[in-house]
Amino acid sequence: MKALLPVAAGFFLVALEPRLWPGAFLYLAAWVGLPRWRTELAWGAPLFTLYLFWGLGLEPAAAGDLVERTRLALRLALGLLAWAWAASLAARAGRSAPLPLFLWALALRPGGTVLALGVLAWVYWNYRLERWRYAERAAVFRVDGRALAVVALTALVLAGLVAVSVRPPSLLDRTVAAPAPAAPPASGGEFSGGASPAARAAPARRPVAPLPVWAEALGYYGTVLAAVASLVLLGILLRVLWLVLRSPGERSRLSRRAVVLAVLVVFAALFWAVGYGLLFRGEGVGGTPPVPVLPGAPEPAAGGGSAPGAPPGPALVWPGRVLGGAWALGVLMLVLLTLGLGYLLLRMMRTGGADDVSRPVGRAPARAPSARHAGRVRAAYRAFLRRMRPLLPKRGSETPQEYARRITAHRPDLARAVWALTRLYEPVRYGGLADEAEAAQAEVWLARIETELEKGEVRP
Amino acid sequence: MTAAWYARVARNVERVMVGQEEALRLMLAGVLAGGHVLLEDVPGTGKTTLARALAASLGLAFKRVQFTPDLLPSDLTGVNVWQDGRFRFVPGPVFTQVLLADEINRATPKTQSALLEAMAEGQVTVDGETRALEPPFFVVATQNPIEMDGTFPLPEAQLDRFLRRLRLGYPGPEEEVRMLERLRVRHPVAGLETVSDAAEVRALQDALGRVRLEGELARYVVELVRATRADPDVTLGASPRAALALQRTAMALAALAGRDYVLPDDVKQAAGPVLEHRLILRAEVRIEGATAAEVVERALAAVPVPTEEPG
Repeated sequence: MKALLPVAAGFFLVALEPRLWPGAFLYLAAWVGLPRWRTELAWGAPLFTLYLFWGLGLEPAAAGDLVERTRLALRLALGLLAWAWAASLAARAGRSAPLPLFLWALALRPGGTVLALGVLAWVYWNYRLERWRYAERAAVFRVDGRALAVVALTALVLAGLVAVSVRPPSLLDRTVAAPAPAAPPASGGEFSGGASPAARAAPARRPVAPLPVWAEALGYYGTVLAAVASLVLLGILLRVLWLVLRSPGERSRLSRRAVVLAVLVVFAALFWAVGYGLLFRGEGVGGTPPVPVLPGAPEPAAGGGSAPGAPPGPALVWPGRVLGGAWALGVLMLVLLTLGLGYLLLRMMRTGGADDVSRPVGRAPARAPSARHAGRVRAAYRAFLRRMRPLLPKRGSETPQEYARRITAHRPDLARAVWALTRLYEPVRYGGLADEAEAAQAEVWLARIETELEKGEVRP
Repeated sequence: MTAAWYARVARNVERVMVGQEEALRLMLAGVLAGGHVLLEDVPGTGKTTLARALAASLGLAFKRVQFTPDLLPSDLTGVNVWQDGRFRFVPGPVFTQVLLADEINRATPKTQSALLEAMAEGQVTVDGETRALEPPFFVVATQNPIEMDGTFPLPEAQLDRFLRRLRLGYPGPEEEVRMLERLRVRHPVAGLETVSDAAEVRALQDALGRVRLEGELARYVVELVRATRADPDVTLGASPRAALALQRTAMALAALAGRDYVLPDDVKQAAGPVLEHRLILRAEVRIEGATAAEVVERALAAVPVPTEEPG
């Protein structure tokens, strides 16, 4: 659950700016849909935060500049590779894991040293916090080239979304922003740095040549893609609704993580609703928030920024046009879901989150077995081996049972947890798949072993 | 299903065999794996009793042949006799389901080799005519490792046909007391009830193919076998047939344990009985007292078990 913190931080920050919605939705969708990769996603949270700053630093009118877009995409791809590198180092429990992110952040934004140091501090804290298990999950990332391929693909998609979400070219007037003298670019002259949107200086405008047809077409499809990404919110809402409406027998199987995530989503959605004019017609958070344009309504000529005298902002017609009809119902649903999820969360906190981890070993599986859960069990066993290495390393020719017997002979206090973990591990390693309950049990037994070992370390 | 069958048969056999649970388990693994077993031990340790009890429990046809130097191949396989104006085939004792070849090393190599076709292919050829044996066909051969006078050591080709070699050993004192109590009046093997049948055994043999042997474990099996070939004390290491036997035995042990997947422990457990009798040590190290068991132990200690890398 601790890994949710960076996600929450990045998510809330990103949620404040509508131009970054597609990225935010994509990130959240990845978090929900790729639970096996949550560690990697968590490691990528600083990157995502930087994405926020880039997006805010990019002058709206400059979005039509393909060179700018390409630069942004390349930087993002570079960042994702740095992320992959960092996760790979973390998989080996290397303390140098934050280094790639740090170097990358410095290289990208020399003026943003504070931000880079923040990234460094964050990654190091994350590393310490999750320790073996955290690094262990990241190990999945380095298993094969598929992970890197997915990263590359994600980089492309995310870069594309960044490019189109800043502003669809088809909606731009044919101007680009000239940097204002009061706010010189922090590096390379493209971006204004990690300042808040409200602090950005007003750009002067000059006419530019129209974009090529293919760029217009690409921009159009990009807009559609971004709008579809925004629709992920509705999917998440449905998922949350399903969680709440499950039968009482099944409800106890809700993992605490799922509920926390759901609460997070709901609150973030409320923020968006408030911030983007649904309730206050564009007078909410954000420097130059665009006013959603409802179908049939006249398109506003300027953004509804709170700063008086601000220049006209971009007329962002999505997702208001796409989702406008769903928002009213959505807000009502959000309020109800927030209450319901708050109650569930409270209940889980009271019961100590013993939803699926306290199930005895060998009980019938609660969910369908999958390779993902098997990966978690194997990761727990790997972490166990690493944890035991300084005390009683496993010999290469030892079977898991032989190793468990040897540990039992040396440390009887570990016997129960070690045998439980071994019995969970064996059918997964040599028999195939595991289910959610088994994966959770393996992690619980690993935690118990770690606790016992820590007790032993302080024992005189 | 297999585990329940094992429990049923083991309970029944234990009425006459005390303290031989491990040997019985390995024998039943041999039955499931469709292999043959060589029981090697001193006289009086219950080799014959175990084979008889097993056959009776499984409801299989049982025949026993006392191998002697004058035993002829046709005494085993059968012979065509002239009767009523034509040749009629009189089947030998090999036409059964459990054949106890008692003191097999007392027969000549020619007679021993008469069993090769039956053991390897489940058929017998007499006078150019091939006849199939009724499955399941299971040979339990015994030999006395001490008394070597007048014996003919089994050829390597035949040793390789035995899935495994088992040693029963003497029972413990408590087990010996229990044995005396049970066998006070008469040997109860005759009254042993049948708890299975040939159809069930065949079904379980077929089901063995569904036991999962993970790819890396198969490689582990091969590495073990190859390690015996690379051992400096060994003249002739384990054959690819040994690798097959090791894999099949491990699968059978997994099935008997009620699992549908093989653990490295199954492979390790099977390694000794499956590999030892197939290894031929160099004469000089044999004189120094080295044994095939030590070679297998070395291989087991040298080959890494596929588990997780701590990273």
